[in-house]
Amino acid sequence: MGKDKILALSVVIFIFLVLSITNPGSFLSAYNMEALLEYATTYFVAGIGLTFVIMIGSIDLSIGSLLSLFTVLFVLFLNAFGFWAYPLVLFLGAVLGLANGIIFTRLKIPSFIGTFGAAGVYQSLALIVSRGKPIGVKPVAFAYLDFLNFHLGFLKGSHMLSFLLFVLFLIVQYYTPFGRYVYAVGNSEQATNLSGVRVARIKTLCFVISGLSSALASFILVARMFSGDPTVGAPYQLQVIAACVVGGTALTGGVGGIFNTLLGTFVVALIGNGLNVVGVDVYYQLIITGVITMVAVALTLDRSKVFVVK
Amino acid sequence: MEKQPLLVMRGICKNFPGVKALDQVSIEVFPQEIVGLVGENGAGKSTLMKVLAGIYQPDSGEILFNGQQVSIASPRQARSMGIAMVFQEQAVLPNLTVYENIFLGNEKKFSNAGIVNRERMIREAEQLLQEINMGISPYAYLHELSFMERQMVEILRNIWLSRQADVQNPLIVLDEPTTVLEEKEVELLFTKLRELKKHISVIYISHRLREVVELCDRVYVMKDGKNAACFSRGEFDEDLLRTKMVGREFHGEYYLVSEQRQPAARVVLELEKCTRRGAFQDVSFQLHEGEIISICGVVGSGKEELCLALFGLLPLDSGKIYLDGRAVEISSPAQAFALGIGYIPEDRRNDGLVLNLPVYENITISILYRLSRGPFLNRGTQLSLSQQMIEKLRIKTPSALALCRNLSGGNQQKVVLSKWLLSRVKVLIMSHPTRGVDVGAKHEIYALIRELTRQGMAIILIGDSFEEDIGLANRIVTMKDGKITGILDATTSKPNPSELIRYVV
Repeated sequence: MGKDKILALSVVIFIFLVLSITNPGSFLSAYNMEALLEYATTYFVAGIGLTFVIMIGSIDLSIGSLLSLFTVLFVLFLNAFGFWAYPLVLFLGAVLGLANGIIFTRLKIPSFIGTFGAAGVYQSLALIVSRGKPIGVKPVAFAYLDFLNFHLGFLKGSHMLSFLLFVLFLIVQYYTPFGRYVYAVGNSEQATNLSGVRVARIKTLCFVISGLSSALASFILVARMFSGDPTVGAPYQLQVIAACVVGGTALTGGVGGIFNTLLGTFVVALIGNGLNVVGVDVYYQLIITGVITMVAVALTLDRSKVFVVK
Repeated sequence: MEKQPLLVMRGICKNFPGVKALDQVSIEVFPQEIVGLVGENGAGKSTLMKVLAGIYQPDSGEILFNGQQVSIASPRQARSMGIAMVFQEQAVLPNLTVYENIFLGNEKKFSNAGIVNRERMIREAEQLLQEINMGISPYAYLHELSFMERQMVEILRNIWLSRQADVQNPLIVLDEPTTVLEEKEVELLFTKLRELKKHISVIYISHRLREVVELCDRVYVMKDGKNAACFSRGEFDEDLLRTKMVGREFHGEYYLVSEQRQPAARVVLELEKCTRRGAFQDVSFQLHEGEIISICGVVGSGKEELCLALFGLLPLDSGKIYLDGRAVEISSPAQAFALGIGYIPEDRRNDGLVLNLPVYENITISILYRLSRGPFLNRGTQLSLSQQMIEKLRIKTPSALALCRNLSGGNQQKVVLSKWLLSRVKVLIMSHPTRGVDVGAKHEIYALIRELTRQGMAIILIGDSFEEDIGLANRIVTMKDGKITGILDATTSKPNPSELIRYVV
């Protein structure tokens, strides 16, 4: 295990131990464990694509809006087409991710502003499609969510799906050319380009995966809420970025990976859950997330790559 | 001239890992003097100037400025002493005006209670500009000025700065100031420099020997990191400088000439009147299977741009490129690679390698798709293939898993070479493949280059010195100001460096 993961792992263990010792009754309960996993899985699945995006030194700020849009669309499609809602939303995830990627690589707009602009579009679409109100899943469509909600102790179907995705993308990261090129591009886009690698394609694919993982995360959200909400995604944006960078994936690119994001996810989820357990008002939680995100970025940033901070 | 010298650099030595960049180099510059500094690429001119500018610290030797022994710790300190560099890449801000540029960073001198008195800045700028009397307005934006006018603004800024520090005779280093200038502008620059000479000294670095002869009061010739000669005005002409720059006669076995291959008749790459405006014009030549063509020329001859264009990094304005007889468009490195062209960039650390990745990932970076079965990369083959290359090329690394960052220059270059060996390209463009590499590793790289041609690879080489170009090449294409000035045979008998230099300067 690389030293980039040690810090996050120690934090996970530390928080877990502190909460287990101070609040054994409420923290270690099956109910709370399920709630913890519930949050962790949503952050993690949404953060899969962002991990690849950050690994190449870019950022995707459209995740929150995409989550909102996809929950709404997923519910509408579930109610209308049943099972076909899954492939449809995944397809749209890939398409909107591709759009983000093309805006970035072809129009050469920095991802920071390109995806931020796109986020506005996706958020508006979510509000337009839903007319600004949450949309419930019709009882006839409940069955299509069963496999996500099926229980085995405090483990749910969605948790297992997340674990499968973790394994899948760990394989993508280590055992596919794409996965290796992500590291190469993140470390030196110039040298990778000059080695004859189709860098723009690699970069675009990272954004496609980010769109896809937003779609997947929206399934988990809908399975939990039984509704699609055009504003549900906004707070997730910071949490998901936090999960990636706290895990040790550096915003400057080239360092980190899916395993880091898994650890970072648990840090973020444990902090949120821990604050609930000890009874801190939910309104304070983003302060903590915001601060630890900044600290994590400061710790992982490769200063040799940053000449001017703008 | 019984004056005290302004600058004395005495016995300066500077070593880089494996390379003796400066070996007991000494120069003197007197007040009100223009001193030329000439030498081949890699002769040590720029290293010496970087020592003077405080960018490098010398390993030994002493520097006296105005008769006092000094150690120059930083460019900032050099400037405050009255030593300034004006490089080809200009250090001016194009979006600001002349007067803002001149006083950049020193606005405090013109401000009261934090409010800058622009009137005073403009008045002072006007006075300064009058000294050169070129009709430059203090209000002009730098991007509106010509290259030469921007140079003058930089020089004025340095003169003003040294006056602030009470230095009456500053020393200004001009590095290749005329490369992009028109004939007339060169004349004007020289006239202005002769006028300014009343209160400045200049170290003038140039490949254009005719200009050095015309302008300089004295000239130092450097060769292989050492002083090769020093002449006073009237003692030297272009031919003498050339001979001294090249120095020793070329000797062949260092470059394994006995292993040189007679190129096959088959043409791999053909260029037909390739032109990129402002870089090169009407470049045509043929490259055969197993052939090495060196492109010789000074900085600004267009040779670097030509190689970038061949690898899809710069678009051509006109002309045709044929690969195996087929007309091709090369618009990106990935496309060039798909066509079978590889490229070894000059800046190995930034462009040639992904330094933070292990050796094996760098060796195989171009061929991961070839090493995959279905969607999956065969990591076993990736490692074993890299291991083979490490053994074959004798790359000194603790293991295939070591980061490239930790390898020496020569071994890093071998990693780059093995990348292209594995990727089976037909044409390999090499830009300064032995730069910053020690003598032993250089020899090994030459052997590898020979090996590549035996396998039929065709090579376009920009060597680090004329000897390298001559020693390795089958033919030499000489370029000057963007045009081909000659194509010399070097297969049967090797041309002389002093013969070659006639074509390039």
